[in-house]
Amino acid sequence: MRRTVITACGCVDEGGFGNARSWTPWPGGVPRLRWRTFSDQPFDRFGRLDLLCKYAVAAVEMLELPPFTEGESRPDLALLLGSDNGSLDTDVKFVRSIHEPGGASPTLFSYTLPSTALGEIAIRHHITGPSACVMAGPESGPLALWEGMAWVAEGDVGGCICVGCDAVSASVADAPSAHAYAFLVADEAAVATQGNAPLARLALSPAPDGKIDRPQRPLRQLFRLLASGGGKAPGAALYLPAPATLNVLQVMTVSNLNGRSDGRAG
Amino acid sequence: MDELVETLKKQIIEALSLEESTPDDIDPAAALFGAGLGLDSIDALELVVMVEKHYGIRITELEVGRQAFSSVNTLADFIRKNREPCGESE
Amino acid sequence: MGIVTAAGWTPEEVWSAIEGEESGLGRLTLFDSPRCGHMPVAQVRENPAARSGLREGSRTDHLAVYAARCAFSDAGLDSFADTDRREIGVVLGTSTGGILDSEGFLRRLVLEDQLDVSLLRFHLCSSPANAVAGTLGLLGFRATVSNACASGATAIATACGVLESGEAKIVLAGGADSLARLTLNGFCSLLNVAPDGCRPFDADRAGLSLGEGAAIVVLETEAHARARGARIHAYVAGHGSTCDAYHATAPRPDGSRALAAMRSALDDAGMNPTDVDYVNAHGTGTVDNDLAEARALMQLFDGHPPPVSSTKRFFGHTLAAAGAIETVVSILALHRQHVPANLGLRRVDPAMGFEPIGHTSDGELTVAMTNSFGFGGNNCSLLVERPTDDRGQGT
Repeated sequence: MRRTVITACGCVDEGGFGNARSWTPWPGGVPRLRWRTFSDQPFDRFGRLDLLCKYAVAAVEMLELPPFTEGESRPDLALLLGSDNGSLDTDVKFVRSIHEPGGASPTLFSYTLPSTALGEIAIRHHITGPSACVMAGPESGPLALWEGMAWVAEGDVGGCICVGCDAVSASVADAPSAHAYAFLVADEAAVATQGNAPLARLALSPAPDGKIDRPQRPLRQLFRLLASGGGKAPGAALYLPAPATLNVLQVMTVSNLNGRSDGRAG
Repeated sequence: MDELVETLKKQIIEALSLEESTPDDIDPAAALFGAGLGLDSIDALELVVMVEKHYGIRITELEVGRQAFSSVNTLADFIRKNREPCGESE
Repeated sequence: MGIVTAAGWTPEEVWSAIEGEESGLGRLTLFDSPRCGHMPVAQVRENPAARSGLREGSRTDHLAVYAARCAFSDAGLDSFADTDRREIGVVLGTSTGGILDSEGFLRRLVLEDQLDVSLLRFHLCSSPANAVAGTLGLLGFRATVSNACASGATAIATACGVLESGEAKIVLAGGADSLARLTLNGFCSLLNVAPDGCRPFDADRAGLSLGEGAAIVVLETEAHARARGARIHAYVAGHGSTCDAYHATAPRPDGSRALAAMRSALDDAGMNPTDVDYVNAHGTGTVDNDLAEARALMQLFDGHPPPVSSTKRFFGHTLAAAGAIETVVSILALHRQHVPANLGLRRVDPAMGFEPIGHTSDGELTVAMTNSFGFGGNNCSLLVERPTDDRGQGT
C-alpha cells in the first residue's frame, strides 16, 4: 500500500477562485463563469458546458496540471467526481426543453449525467485512466477523495484528480449555489522523487475519540486548510467522514510532517 | 435577405452557447463545421432543433441537414425554400 | 443474485427468455411520447411497486429494492442479525434515479403551472441505494456510482475495492434504471434509437433500444463466503476501467481505450485473452459503439475472438443497470454452459471482422468478459469465472 499525499488544490465557489498559491475574490456577486477568468489557453467549448461541468473544469484548471503535448495521453491519471445533486440542474432544464418547440435539446441531454463532467475534464487534459462519479449525499466529496486515495494507494494509478462539485442554478432552486473543490492525490514516494513538496498527507484512521469533523461543506474546509499552508495551525489535521463506518479520512498538513521536535526533516 | 443571415447568426450563437463569438465573427460563406467554429455532431443536431423551433421546419434526414448546415448562407437558402409561407391559405 | 428486466423477474425467467430467444422489446405504455412513442422499448410490464416491498419510492427505487431483496435472500442473508448488517454495504449505479417520477412534477410546472414538490423527493441518484439500505437495514458503506452506461459494471468494480479495503464484509452491488421521457427523448434527439429494435453488430443497425430493469449481486471475499457456508455463484476475477478522453457522447472510433479497459481487467485477473471463453459485448446497436467495440475486440484477441454476443435486444439498453444485468447473464451462461444469442442479427456488418453468435449455443465456458461503455467515454470491463473444483483463489 503506497502512502498518498495531496499535491495541489483548487477552488471555484461563491467567494471566488484560486488554489494554494493565490486567491481571487469575486468583486461583486458571483458572475457567469467565463473561461478567460481562469486561463489564457483557448477552450472554445467552455460556453457550451453546463453549470456543473463549468465549475468542475474551472476548479481542475486551478490545479495547474503540467501542460501536455498533442497526441499524448495520461493513462496513469484517474478522475473522481463526488456530487450530491449531480446533474439535477440540467435534468430540469432538459425536461423543460422536451416541451418546447423544436423538441429536446441534444446538447442538454449529454449533460443530464454528472459523469459528463468527467468526460469534459478527461478531454481537456487527455486523461485516460479510470474514472467514476460517486454520490453519497453531503459526503460525496470526501467519498471521491477516499476512493482516489484508495486507487493510488493500491497502485492502480500514479495520481488521481478528486473533485467535489455541486451546482444548482436559480432556474431550478430557490437557493442557487455552485461550488467545486479539486485536489490532486499522488503517491508520496513519486512526489518526493520529483523534488516536490506535498500540501498534506492522506490516511485512513479511526476517528480520534469519536471526533469527526462534519462541516456543512467538508471539501471547502479542506481547501481552506491547505490554502492557508497549514501555517496557522501547524500539524493541522482534519478528519473527514466518508460513507465508511470503520475509518475516517485523515488529512494532515505537511508542515507538521516536516518539522519534528527533534529537528529532523520528515 | 441579409436580415435572415444576420438573424441566423444570432440564433446559432444562442443555440450553441458560443459565448466568445459575435455575429461579426461568423463569415456567412465559411464552413460551419470542421474548422472555423469547431462545431461537432451534437451541435449539428442542436441546429436541427433550432431550425424547427424558429422556422417550423423539421429535418428528419441527416443528409438533408448536412447539406443545409454547410454554411450560414446555405442554411438561409434552405430556410427560404422550406419555411411555411406567411399569409397564404392552404 | 437478483434481477428484474422486461424479459423476466428472476434469473430463471431471464434465462428461459434467452434459451427461447424471446426479445423483451415491445410497445411503450408507461408514458405518452408524441415524438418517440413509436420506438420499441423493453418495458417491465408489471408494476415493480407491486413486488418490491418498498412502501414508497420512484420506479427505479422499486426495481432496485426488488432485485436487492432477491439477491439478499439468495445469498442466505435474511437471517443476519442487525449488528452484522452494519458490515454490509451497498454500491449501486443509476443514471435516471427518480427522473420518471420527477418528470410528472416538471410537466405540471411547465405546462400547468402547478407545483407539487413531493414528486421530487426521490429524484436524486442516491435514492435507490438509500432505498435498498433502508429496506434491508444495511448500515455499512453506501455509495452511488453515476457513470452513465458503465455505472452497473463500475459499481461492481467499486464494491470489490470496498471489500478489499476491509470497509465492509459483504457488499450488494449492481445497477437500476427505469424508462423515462428524459432518456427516450434524449437518445431520440441524438438520432440514436432504432425504429425496429436494436440489432447489435448488424450491417443495417440503426441505433439502440431503451430498456429498464435492475440487477444486484452480493459480493464478499471467498474466505468470508466459505466461512458462513454461502453458495458461490461466480468469482469476479478482475476489472478494468479507462476514459476515452474523446467526446461527450461518441466513443473513440479506434476503440483503443476500450481495449485498454479489457486489458486492464485481464491484468487484474492475472489472465490472458486466451483464457476468455465468452464475451458479453456492450453492443448497443449504434453505428459508432459497435464498430469501436469490434475494433477493440479484434485487437485484444488478435483477430480471433471467442464467442461474442450482445444481449441488448433481450433486455434493451438498461443504461446504468446494463453492466449489472449483463454480469448476471454472463454468470448464468457460465452455469448453463450456453452462449446467449446476439438477438436481432440478420447480416453481420463485414467491418466487424467477426461473427457474433447468432443463436443460443453450447459452449465450454469458465471465464466470461462483460463490457460496458458509457457516455463521456467511460469504459469498464469485468471478468467473471465459474467456480470449479480446483479453483484456489477468490475475490
